Amino acid sequence: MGQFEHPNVIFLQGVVTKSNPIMIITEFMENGSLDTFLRANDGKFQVIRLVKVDLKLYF
Amino acid sequence: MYRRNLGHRWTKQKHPERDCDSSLDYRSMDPHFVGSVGESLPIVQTHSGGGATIPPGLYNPFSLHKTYVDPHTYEDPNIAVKQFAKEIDARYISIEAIIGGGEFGDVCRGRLSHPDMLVAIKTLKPGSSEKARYSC
Repeated sequence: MGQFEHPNVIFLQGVVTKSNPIMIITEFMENGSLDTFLRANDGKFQVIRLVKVDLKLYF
Repeated sequence: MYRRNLGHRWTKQKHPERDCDSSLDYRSMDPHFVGSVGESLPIVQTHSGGGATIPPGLYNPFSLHKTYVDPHTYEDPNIAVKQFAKEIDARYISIEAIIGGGEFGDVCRGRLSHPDMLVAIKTLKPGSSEKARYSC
């Protein structure tokens, strides 16, 4: 994750490994997780739209 | 070797009337040759922290994209973490609210004080790394 710098990929700010608890610090997504969003809006998107989202993540 | 080739091409261009052995000239345009022109370009690093450069064999001078390195190829995952993630001092982080949770710890909303920004924090419960290790 730390190797990506793209608007569609969550940005890894850094990690805390030298003290407890160990933490992963990332960019904050105010609309929650994509998983929750897709489940809450199940059936509202056409498959082609979802494929476009997927492609945007890849390229 | 590349430099000599480069000089060779320039000589050819300066004296096009002598350019009769075209087969050699075409050969000089192969990807390896073009790659050598890119020698003067600065080497792009995969990430800003860590200061490690990509092994020369993996560097593709044609690509403007950074080369992705699979962290699983590292024998010691701690080294991969050091390489690809920046270590943050815990004093710079303040947790504001717990927004979710998983098997290995909580997900929190928090604030980073340097630089000041809203962040998501995944915490690892003490002892869960051992648990994960034994379950593998």
